[in-house]
Amino acid sequence: MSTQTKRKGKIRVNVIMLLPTNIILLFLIIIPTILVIWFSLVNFQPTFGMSFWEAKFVLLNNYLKIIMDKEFVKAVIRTVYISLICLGVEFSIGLLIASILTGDIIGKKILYPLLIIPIMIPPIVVGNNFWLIFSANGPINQIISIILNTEFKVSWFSHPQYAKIPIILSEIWHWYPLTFLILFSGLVNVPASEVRAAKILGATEWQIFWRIKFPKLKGIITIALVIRMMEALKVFDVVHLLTHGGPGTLTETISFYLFKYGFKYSRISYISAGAWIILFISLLGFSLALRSVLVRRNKNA
Amino acid sequence: MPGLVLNSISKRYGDVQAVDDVNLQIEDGEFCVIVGPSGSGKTTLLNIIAGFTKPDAGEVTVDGKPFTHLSPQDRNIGMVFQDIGLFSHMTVRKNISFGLEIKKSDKNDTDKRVEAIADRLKIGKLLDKKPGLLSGGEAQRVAISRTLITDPSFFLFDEPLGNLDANLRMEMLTEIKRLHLILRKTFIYVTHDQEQALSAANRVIIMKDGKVLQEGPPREIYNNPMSTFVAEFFGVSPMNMIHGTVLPEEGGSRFKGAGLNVKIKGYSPPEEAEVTLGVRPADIIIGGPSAEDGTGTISSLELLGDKNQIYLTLEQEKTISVITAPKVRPGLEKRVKIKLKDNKIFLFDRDEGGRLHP
Repeated sequence: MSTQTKRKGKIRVNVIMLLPTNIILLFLIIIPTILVIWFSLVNFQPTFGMSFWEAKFVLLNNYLKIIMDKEFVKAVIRTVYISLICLGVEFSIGLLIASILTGDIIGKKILYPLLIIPIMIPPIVVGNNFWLIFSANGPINQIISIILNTEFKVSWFSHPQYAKIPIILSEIWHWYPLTFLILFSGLVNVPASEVRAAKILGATEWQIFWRIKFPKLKGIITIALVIRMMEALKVFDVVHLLTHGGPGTLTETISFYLFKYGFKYSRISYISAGAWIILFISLLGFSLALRSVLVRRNKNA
Repeated sequence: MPGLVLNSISKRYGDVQAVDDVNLQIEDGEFCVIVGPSGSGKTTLLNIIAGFTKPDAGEVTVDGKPFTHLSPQDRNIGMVFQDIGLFSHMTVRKNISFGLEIKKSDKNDTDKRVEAIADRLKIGKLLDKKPGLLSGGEAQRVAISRTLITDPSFFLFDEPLGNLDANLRMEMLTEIKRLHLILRKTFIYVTHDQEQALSAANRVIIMKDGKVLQEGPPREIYNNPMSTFVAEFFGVSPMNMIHGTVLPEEGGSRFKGAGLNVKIKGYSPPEEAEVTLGVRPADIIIGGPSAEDGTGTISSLELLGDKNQIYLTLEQEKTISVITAPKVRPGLEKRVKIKLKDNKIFLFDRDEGGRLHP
């Protein structure tokens, strides 16, 4: 067999092997994506009783409308705000635990699996547990009552300022193992000989962390941030379970907003435009963040 | 003047006694080489001096001041590691200045010192490179430069040349020796390669199984090994070891073993005893009028130019190594008579390995 026919045969095998996955992807991602582009450019509402291909073409009207909607803009800002708080706290906790676990401590082997349990729990269970914990007669109120030594009863989920707290806390509890795991793998890979060399040159633990370990972790930290940010921006489950976006619209996040307008009010075209805006902004942000990692990597190589 | 003193240091890892009651006194400015086979505890001992490992018992003092409880950061030691450990994300310049920068020293002064040290170790051209681009020898030079910047009171080398090829190793060793002459600071150098030890050291410490077997100037250890282990381990050409028995006789004793029959002057054991006779390859004479100690067959012959390396097979399949001058050139497979130089014969206890004679 000549190499050319060999190569052709190989290509044919590759195509056959990849076909099933690609067919699934076609129906799950490519066709819906094209449909969403179409939806976002027409005025389509299933409740109007017309098919989507008959809908009227309205150009960028949906986009303009959703950008002008204060509720949407607030939901975006609120989501970013919640995400950044979660990220900051998860990151600090993750880094702290990772630093502790890279040292010599007793019970490491037991602590390690215990600490990553939260990430394996389904979001609906996390949401329900936090609903119980923060309910009016739940343990949080009782613990605060004991500490303050007076009756303390806050309805966390309907309080205009406090309603975000259970959402943020449940997100942090659920996702800190991710940052912890990623940072831990980074810290473990810092060469022991460099740490020893720095020590013997007189560097304190603090200096060793900031001058030796942290610079080596920069790339992995960016990746951890991007992965976690992607997860945080689509926060939905706990909002749906705990506050339902309330009180009013004060805890609505992007996905909850899109869910509400899409599946409750059936404004498919409207939320399609919103979805595209979010996708565009996230792609821009994440590719900029990842580019800094790639540039650094090429420089080192 | 007491420099670095180790006082009954012991360290145990699980079932292994890594360091076993070691007492040492290393004076200021010494070039001290610790040698031993792998697992002899020499690196553990070095880590105890550096402060990375806490000894189970014993104490370290420097100029009389206690050192044991100090962390590595506070010991003012320069250390060069086998796996080098240059900070891979920093340039060579930053690597060298690290020791000063963390102490927030004056920037201009730091720059000047980096330049001076780089000049001394001939790495001036590499200052703006990252460690990943350096060769093994260059990286080792940078590692040495990095320790020099803080002006440490003594230097530890943990098999620093283990990863280099033979030529480079000799070159770097010369460099380290030169550095020792200039700095006149204490150098403690750990290696399993005793060729390095012989050429560099003022003093050699031989370790095995966590114990110090013998210490002293290299020549003295070479000429005067106290046990079979030291005799076989130390020296470029290891001592021949021949098992046999020693019988008392008038004016000394007589060794018999592997077909040898050697008169031992000045050693009179009370009774017949099992011993090991040791003799260096260069202390065996082939042929000559008085060659009556035994006979052997030449089984292998290497003409090395400045000397001949000969392997002789004695009785009971025992092979010994002999080094002769290049002009002595017996043929292969020939039977020759040999003579052991009287004053170069050692007798060791067969079981304990301790020296009996001289």
